[in-house]
Amino acid sequence: MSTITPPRAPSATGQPGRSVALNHPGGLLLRILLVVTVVAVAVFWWTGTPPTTGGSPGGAVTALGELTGLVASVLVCAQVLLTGRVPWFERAVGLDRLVSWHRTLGTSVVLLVLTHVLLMILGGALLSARALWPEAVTIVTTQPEMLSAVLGTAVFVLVGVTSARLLRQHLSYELWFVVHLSVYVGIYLTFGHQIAAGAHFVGSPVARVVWVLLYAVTAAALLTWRVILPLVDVVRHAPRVTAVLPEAGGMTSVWVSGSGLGDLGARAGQFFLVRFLVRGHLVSAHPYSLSVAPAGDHLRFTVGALGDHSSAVARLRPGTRVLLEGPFGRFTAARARRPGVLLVGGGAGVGPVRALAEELRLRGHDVVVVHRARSAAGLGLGNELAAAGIDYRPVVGHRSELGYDPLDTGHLPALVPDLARRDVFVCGPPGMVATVVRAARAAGVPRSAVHHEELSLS
Amino acid sequence: MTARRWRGTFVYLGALAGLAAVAVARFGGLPVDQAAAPVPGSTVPAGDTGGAAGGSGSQGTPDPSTSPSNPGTGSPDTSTVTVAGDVAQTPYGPVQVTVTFTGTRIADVQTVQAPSGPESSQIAARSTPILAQEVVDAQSARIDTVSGATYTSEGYRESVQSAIDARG
Repeated sequence: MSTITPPRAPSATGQPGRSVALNHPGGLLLRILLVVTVVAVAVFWWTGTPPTTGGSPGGAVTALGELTGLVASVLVCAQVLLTGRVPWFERAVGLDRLVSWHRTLGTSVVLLVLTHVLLMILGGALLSARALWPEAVTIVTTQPEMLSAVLGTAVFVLVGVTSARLLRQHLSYELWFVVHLSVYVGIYLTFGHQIAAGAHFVGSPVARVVWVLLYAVTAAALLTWRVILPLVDVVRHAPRVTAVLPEAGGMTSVWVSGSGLGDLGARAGQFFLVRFLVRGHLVSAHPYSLSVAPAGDHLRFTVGALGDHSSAVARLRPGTRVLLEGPFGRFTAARARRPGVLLVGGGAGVGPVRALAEELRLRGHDVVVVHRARSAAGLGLGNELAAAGIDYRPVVGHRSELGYDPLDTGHLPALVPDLARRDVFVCGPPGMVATVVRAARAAGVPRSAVHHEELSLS
Repeated sequence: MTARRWRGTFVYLGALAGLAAVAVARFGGLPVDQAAAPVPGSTVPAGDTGGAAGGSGSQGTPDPSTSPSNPGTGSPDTSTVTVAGDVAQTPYGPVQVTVTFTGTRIADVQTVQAPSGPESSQIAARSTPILAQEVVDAQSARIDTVSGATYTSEGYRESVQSAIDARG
């Protein structure tokens, strides 16, 4: 197969930085806020650290260890807030990017905490002329709140390790989630030593108050948006499962209804964090996309057969209560700027594509849907898309059987010749999304017209 | 796909480099300045510590008024001897004490130098009398940390212990 569209000069690559900033002014603001906070902490450290501290190697190392600890501590609050469902952050950046930042920053924070521990031991050892291990024992036994700090650090490390790429893929979402929740215990355990043993706090009541306030405000935000408001919504809307329907490809559609659910203002392409209040589902909330444009007080989620929990969804009974957090996401029809739109869906990603196709068609767009599946039997919701009055193009076959990837740079333009003139929405497994984004960009679709969102929260 | 591989590690390395740069900026160009303090472990007759303490006065330490006014010489059993402890380094500056022994008993502990600076000297002024009393009560360096003065306490213990060791 040959490429029909001549490859265009990548003229758009000159401006992605600018267009990203323009597209996400909130994101830029949030990043600036983060940097300003860290700088403020550094200034606080600076004023509390006389230059003479650096007069001995041990003093300098200890002071650097304290700076590392202070920065790690403030970043811990940032970490919690990033995924704290704070509406302003969510609207400005989008939950998927917040989660991505959280992942990046999480690695850094765990490494900073470990660096802090090592520097404090090393600095103390240099000051007291003890070996590292005896010095570590001395610190833990003589300084206040240090035993709980050690336990808390262990929790941080455990959370970091279970989230690391190598290990995460071998863990179930549920196990990972429970371990991740324990980080709150870790944060609690490590807070005491900051105030009681932190050299910058013991002598300064003002600094102590500010630090306690920082943590109190973080905790309050967490309680408000992750606990209280979702619970209020449960009481107010009382959402329940009203129907559970099997779909092709092992997927399951779940209808959820509740009085006033329409007031939530959910849009096609958005997702909710869904927790079914029944044994086996209580522990973790899962991100599920709407698979029809919401109408009235009824929402439909279509769930792929991934993971223990997703397959258990098929056994849900009507009447089951549901805890909904959301709607989240910026993957909506409002993003489409051009008359022509290409939607690419694969796996469970076809759900939001199905909902978006419906809404985009109603808005008057010329909609093409490419539906990717390994086999014809895997085209879940394909029947609905075929009947929706849009240009529906199922693409079936395993890559190894086909001998090529029908969505890559060499083949997608052949499938959709006017690709370059369209907005491109893609939702599906990460590999597929990356392939389609590359193909669309290579075909000359500007970055601002390529829309994708990752659903995974882990 | 949004989280680029190793991005977190790179951010960490960048942050660490930034923090180290801040520390270097804070301490940069500062010559390693060893306090002109009494030679650690040297046994000096009581009453002579004033000179040694004066030497460290350049550090801006609280006035280490030398209290022992007993005659410096006497029979070994009841003699009063003042021993200077090691200089213990803490992140906020050196801590050094002199321990005055009457016979084998610890009679008094004087602070020769303690961390200076706007907050540190306040902390030192508050904590050192408590620490001195603790040493006299315990007759050893095994004393509790004074809350809010973790490093000073640690350094104090160290200096007292070295003085006791030097006394033998």
